[in-house]
Amino acid sequence: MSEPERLHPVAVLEYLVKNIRSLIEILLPGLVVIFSSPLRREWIIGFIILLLGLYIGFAVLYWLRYHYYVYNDELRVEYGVFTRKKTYIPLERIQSVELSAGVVQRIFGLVKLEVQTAGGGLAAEVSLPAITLQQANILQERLHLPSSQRIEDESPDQPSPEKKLGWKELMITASTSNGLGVVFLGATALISQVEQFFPDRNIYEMLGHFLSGYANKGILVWVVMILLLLIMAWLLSMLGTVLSLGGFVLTREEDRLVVHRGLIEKKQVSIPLKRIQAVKMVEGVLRQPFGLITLHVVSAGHGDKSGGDVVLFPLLPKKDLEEFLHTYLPEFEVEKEIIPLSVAAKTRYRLIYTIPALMVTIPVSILLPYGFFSLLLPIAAFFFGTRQYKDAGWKINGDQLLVRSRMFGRITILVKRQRIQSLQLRQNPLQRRKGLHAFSMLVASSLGGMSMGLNGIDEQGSVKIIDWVYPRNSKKNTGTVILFP
Amino acid sequence: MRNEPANRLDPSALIYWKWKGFLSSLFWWLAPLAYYFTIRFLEWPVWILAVLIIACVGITILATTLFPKITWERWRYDVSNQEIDLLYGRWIRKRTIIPMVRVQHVDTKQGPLMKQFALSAVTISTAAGNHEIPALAEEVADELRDRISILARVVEEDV
Repeated sequence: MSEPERLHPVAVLEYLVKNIRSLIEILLPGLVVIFSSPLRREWIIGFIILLLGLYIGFAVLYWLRYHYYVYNDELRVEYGVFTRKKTYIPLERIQSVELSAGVVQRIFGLVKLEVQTAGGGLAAEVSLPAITLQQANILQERLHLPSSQRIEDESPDQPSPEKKLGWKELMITASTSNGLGVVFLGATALISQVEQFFPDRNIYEMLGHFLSGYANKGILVWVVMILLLLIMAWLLSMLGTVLSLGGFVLTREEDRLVVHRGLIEKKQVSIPLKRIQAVKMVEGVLRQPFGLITLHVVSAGHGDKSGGDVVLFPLLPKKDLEEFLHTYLPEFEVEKEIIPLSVAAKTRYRLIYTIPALMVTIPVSILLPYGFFSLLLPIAAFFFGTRQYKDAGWKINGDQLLVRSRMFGRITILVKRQRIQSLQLRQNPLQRRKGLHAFSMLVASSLGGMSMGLNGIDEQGSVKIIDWVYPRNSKKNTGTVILFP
Repeated sequence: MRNEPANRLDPSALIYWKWKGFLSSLFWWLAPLAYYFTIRFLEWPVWILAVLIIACVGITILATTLFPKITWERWRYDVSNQEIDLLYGRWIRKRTIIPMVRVQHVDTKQGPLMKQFALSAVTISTAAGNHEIPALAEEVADELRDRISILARVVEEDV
């Protein structure tokens, strides 16, 4: 057993900063009443000082009553001022331990340590907001994890395989990322926020007046302005990527992968190899032509809000993939050839976007002048669907399944049989006529579950997949398989 | 040999679904009701009210006859020592297979309407999501829940 330990005193500061907003929200109505009352000013100031004192006192008490220790192969955290809370996590249930250092932590040379288990969604089960690096290392050792010297950029002493993202690659990653759209959304959100500060003026109207001042100078000015906006959005998204992925280092330490990243907020993620549920390779639209891929891993313990997975390496030439998997993910293999979808499914892929596009563009092209230009949309939809059909495919190799599909970027997922939580085959009336199926599988992820699958495999394919997931059937079974009577 | 799963849902599930369909179809009746009060104050065309009412009658009839019937007839399930096999889906046929070793826990639940018909639903949870057998007789559901629970415990695997 280890002695119960406290957080670093800076945790008090962290607590104050983190909870100040909720405090104000709670107190605001009361304060308004007090200020509008005929009390003397000294009383009011005295009252506020008392409140602040209570708040700080509470934070100090919180810190005093917060203990963590390892006992009986459990990480135990006991906290709470009035209601005592005790969180005990069996060590073998820990999916990952993450270290990070935000601004407050970096000023005092501290780290934040978060422990994730498979349950309970995105939020960490245990979060130690401010501890010294030494405490973090001791705790990680107790949790049977490698200590991490390098969050503060000290040199490593053991020669484990390591892959760094160079500045050149970082710039390529940043300039080809898909963050562009997000920045655009952000800009719109910003405008709507600004709007709240000028309630009596319409911000869009102001923008319109501002823009129409230039309008008589011709369409060129408009084009230039839109281009400028686009370039600004692009630069912002580049900056975001550089800050979060700068200094990216992937290391393999025996049975786990460790990722260090971040320029301002440093992050360290440690993923045990045996906790990895699936590997996801993404070839972005801008990256595929250069043979570049991004590697993600899916695990039940961590992941970001968007995809529920972790970027294992942001930019990798496709030719290096085999060696990369061999070094860092030896359980998984690259496939050279994959099984395409059934030819009968081609129509579905060709029409699935084309028909809705036609339904919109036909009225538009009839009703609006120059509307027939919009007919380019269904044509694009047709080729897009055809492309999706061509890219899709699957392959079974031993106990590994590969599923490849395209949304915008091309996504290839590798998964092991023992990681599949459930399998579903589907057939709609149209598919029934053609003898086609769709399948999807659920794999555990930080968002609860990740679905992977394909639309448009034939009956034989379905049977092969079902027999692969449930191998007992292939031994006894030589008879017919009726999936959808 | 993999064939159609053997078991059907409880016969009273059909009546339960008919009632459920009827009650949920009442929601759509809010539209003609709202329109009726609107035309008392505004001069909007009356024929729209007729269309809305006809549409709602149609929805209610389908929700109390055809839909529950098809759903009930299509539902099949099977629980063996190795796996849980579900076959269902009104228009899109679905076949879901859950290996027994992946089952994390299993619950039964019963809403107030289900209680009237002595029905229970069995929910099977894996590390990546839940699956449901929607309407079984209470005793059957309880027995199934206990059986799955025991079978799932035999092989304990970590995520």
